[in-house]
Amino acid sequence: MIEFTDGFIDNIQKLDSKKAVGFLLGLIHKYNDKVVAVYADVGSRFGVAGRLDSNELEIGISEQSLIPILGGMAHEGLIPFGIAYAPFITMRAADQIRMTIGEMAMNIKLIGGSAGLVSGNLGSASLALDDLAMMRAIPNIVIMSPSDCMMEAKIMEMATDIDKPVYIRLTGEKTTPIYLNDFKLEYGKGIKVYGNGEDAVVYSTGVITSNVIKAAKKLKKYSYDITVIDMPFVKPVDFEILDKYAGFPIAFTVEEHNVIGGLGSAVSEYIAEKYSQNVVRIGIKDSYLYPDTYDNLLEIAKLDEEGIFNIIKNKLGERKVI
Amino acid sequence: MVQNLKYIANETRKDILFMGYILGGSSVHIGGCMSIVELLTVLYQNHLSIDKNHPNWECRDRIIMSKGHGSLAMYAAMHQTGIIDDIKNIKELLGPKTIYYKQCVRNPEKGIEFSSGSLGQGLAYGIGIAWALKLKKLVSPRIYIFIGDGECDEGAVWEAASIAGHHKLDNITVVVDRNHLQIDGNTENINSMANLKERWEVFGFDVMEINGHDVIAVDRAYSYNPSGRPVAIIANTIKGKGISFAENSVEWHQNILTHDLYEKAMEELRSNLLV
Repeated sequence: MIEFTDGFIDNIQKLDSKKAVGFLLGLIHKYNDKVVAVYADVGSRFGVAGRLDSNELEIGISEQSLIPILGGMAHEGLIPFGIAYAPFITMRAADQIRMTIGEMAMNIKLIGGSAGLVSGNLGSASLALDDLAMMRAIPNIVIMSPSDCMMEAKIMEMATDIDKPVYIRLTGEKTTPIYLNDFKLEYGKGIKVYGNGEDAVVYSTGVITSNVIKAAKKLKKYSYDITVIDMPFVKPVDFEILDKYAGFPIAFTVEEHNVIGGLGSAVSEYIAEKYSQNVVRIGIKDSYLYPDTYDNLLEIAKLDEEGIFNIIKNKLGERKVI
Repeated sequence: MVQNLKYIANETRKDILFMGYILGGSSVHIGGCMSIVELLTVLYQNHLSIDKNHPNWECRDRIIMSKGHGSLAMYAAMHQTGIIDDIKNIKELLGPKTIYYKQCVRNPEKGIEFSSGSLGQGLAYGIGIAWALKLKKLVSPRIYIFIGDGECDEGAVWEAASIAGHHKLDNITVVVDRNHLQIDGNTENINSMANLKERWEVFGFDVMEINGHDVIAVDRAYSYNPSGRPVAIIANTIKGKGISFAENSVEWHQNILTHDLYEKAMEELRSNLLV
């Protein structure tokens, strides 16, 4: 067990989402020697190289082999974490994932770093904006995406403990802390992170959630009271929490992903079959965008504080006029 | 020993035909099953360390049928070894009543380590096992991975071969079914293998090239003591071996066994015993 002391929380929140992986796997390995790390030429970038002694395997830039290699290890009772950049550990290895997770439900853990827009300064080849769409359609998989490094610690701990295939989608780099104290992460459950207002509910996943909270605080100044839910689980999505807020007039989803296939789709699919609630999906509009800085791309995609604020305010304003 | 192995190989071919026939109107991969019969027979009879009563025994040797449509040949070899009691109990190879399918579906309790049917992935599963066994300091088990020569078109085979060679996973034996045929024709006309033996050598394997139907040569190849590197056996075989109308025939990569063809093939195999 990781001990979530105040000192631990301070330390973990100072790390970026990738470096936290090595730090956390080093801790988890100390109490669970079945945990092994396999990385595809990213051992230094994720701070994992050297953390697990003999329980590490470097395989080079070979994401397609990574997945079945993890499957072979899981077959022998190990708990293998595979680490690579998000677009390559998912789309590059799609067929291997289909077999190892969809067909065989093997107990493997995939960590995809730099998902969303954070690598946009390199170009669209380095972006993972479609990974959730593909991964959600694979049976058996659990998809988790942390909103800060404390949540990442909870997710890594849970991924180790559950006997299921897991994809951990890491967005952002330096994260804005949301969880300042210890808390209990329940399997498949969302967590309310701001507000009690009934004007709207916002479901958000990944580090972008901190922008949503900022936008919500700003909306409060304009007399819009909204509730913000952090959705660490994109699959299974938390149906109970969707039920709970289905009576609100409108729901928003926010994610660093194409509006097709991600959290917005997951929420919309459920709501559409059961409720008349409007769902507005905030995300990337079916495009790969031009190379630019992370901050600029968030602004272009309207995923910065101002963009999220404006979309929600305009929608709520329309409703008040009506 | 040789006569006994040849007899069991012949019985194995009958089992493959029987299972292929009970599929009725559904086509089966006769060609690529018949080509690996001696390779499987010698392995299961003389070399494979398994406990029939405890298929999950940790120290067992592992077989991965990466060329997944060779599954019927594997079931037949398992039947001849007594792992599968009676193939007549395999009522069908499709649907929810069975655990034996036309391509392997993972079921370690029944001796099927991994699902297959999507080519080019078996060696990487083997690497994961090989590394895990070394981590657990289990030195005796070997991992045997059956790969088709057509399957060697897949880039993933060579990505995995490079990793296995680099990490010197000497508990791996790759068996390449070099039957020279794939769906669209001769392998050399489709995507030349060049010198397949040299290919595996440069990826860090100890390589043997043998006649895959010569039980003595096959036995000798499995007896090889690896020198700190993974092993590859390039087994030159005949697709459809043992069935006159299927030998070296692209049409019998996958085809339907009618009653007449089944009887004709069975008669050929029965007459082998008289020789």
